[in-house]
Amino acid sequence: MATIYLQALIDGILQGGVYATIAVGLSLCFGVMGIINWAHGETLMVGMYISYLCVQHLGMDPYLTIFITATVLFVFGFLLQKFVFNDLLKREVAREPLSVLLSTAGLSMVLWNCMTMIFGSFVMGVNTKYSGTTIRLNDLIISRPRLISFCIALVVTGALYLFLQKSEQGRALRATAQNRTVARLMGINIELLFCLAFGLSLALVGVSSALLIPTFQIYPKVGAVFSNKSFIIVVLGGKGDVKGALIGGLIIGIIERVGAVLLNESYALELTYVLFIIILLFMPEGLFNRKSKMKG
Amino acid sequence: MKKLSKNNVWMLIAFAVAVILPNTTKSSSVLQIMVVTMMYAFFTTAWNISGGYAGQLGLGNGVYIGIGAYITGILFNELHVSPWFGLLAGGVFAAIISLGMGSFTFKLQGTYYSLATVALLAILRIFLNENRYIMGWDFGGPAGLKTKWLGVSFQNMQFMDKRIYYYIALGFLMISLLACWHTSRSKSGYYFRAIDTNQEAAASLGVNVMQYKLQAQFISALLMGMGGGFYVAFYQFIDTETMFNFELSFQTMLMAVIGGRATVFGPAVAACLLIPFNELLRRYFGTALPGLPMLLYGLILMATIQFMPQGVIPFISEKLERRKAGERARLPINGPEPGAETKGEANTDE
Repeated sequence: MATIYLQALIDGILQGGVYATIAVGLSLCFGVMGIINWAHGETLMVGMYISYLCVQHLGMDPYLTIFITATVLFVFGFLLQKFVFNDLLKREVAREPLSVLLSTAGLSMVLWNCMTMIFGSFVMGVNTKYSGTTIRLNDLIISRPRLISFCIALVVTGALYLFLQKSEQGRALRATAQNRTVARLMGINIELLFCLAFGLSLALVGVSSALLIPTFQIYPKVGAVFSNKSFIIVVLGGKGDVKGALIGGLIIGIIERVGAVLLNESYALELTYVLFIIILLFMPEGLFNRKSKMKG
Repeated sequence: MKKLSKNNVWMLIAFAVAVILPNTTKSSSVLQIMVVTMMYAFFTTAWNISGGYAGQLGLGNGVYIGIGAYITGILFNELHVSPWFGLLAGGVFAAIISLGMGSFTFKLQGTYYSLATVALLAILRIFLNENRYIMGWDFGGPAGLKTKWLGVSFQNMQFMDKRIYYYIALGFLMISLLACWHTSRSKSGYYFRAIDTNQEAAASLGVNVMQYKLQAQFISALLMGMGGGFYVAFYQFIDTETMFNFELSFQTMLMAVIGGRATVFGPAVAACLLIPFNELLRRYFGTALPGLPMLLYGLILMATIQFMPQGVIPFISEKLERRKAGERARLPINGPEPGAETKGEANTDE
């Protein structure tokens, strides 16, 4: 009996790692620019379609498509920020950038309907060489693609963390997140930095989309599922917090899997939303940021 | 003075057209589009009070339509409460929920409120999908809730003639336009806009930000909940997929933003243009290009925000105003002020 729960726990952790990588990008955007990218899940969905095309038609290894999806989405994000969102942000310096939120909501509509027009609204799955392969440990069955995805997700998230902590650009990003005006006074090119942040955010989405390919089905509306999960994780972890997002992702993964065993899948999903509302209501700065709230 | 009366004439003409229009056709499907247009115009005008005037962008605010619709439907089916009272109950219930959500999430930026409403959408969808019977009442689960047909009667809001639905929807639209109009010139309306423009500044001048955000949200949710009640009476069928889906919320929000947030007529005008257009696209390209109508919605929205951040209607009226001012006299006094491009004067002539 215990093995069922242990199994669910392991599945949850493996799943949660990938969720975390998806959400970290959103968190970065939210932290640096104060914008919620409503089209976050939809860009993920586009990445999945790109990866799908590469695997299906070029016969590529799904994990190699990471480089393609990440590059394509980085460029997409960079240009989008440069030519669309930067203008909006400039207009709303003094207040919350709500027009960006609206614009991304429009973008999400554009993206998923565009994909519906191209691919139809069918559910597609890719049969990669990883799909369905497992590793057995006594009674436990570990899905190989999930394990690989989890490891890559951890490495990428770790790399982002190091980038933010150690590199010059990363420091600039953190400075901008803390105080935009002061950062500008210190000679940081904010506009370029925003492009970088949005590009990075989408590059992370690109990586995650390739990680999801061996185990997830693709359809135009799949983005909404991941958007919602990312929102939950970002709120759990606190905005702009990489470690928080990682832990938040793991929590959501575990709740989903263990909850699916204890209750059923839809209730487990419901539980994540309820948790989300509770966090929003009672500790809206995130699970781990109570101190900073008191300080600030 | 002259300008004001001109505006009134336009309003009267628009109203007369709205009244006469359904009598010009016998086609049931054309009438259907008209009713749907009026209904969305009503939804979006209601959204405008909190989303436009107070600037609290509820992206998931369709949830209040859903709540109102389910309450009205279930009261009618199980307790035979007339939808006229049912929709009041639905509206009040939705408004109370919005207060509950807002009183916590408005402490932060409005984005959190948007996220909370989207989560509420998901929670209700899953909950109603999983629980068909609640307190012994049949909510229909994923199959949807069908209201009983009890024959044509005013009390049950059931008619064969779609024109009657049209006039009811028009009436609701008038109510919400009145509410918007009142908001645009009342004291609290000015507070709403102050909060939208700069919350900190408003607070520092003694505006009770929380109270006015909640007030805006309350009116908005009340009207939207009532609209939901009308929705169920008109379609006689609702299901979790349509009521608690992001699309309904999105459409409601979109028309207000395109038409012009924080203007009285902008959202309704946008709905009157976009909904019929959308329905026609759906009819002619629905099967060949399934995503096209929504794709265009998204593009129009993005373009509007990019190039006409106040919305299309204020943009055009401002253009006209300027041209007039230019014709009248090329005096420097009448030239555009430096702050003319930023928000805030969209609505001064109404």
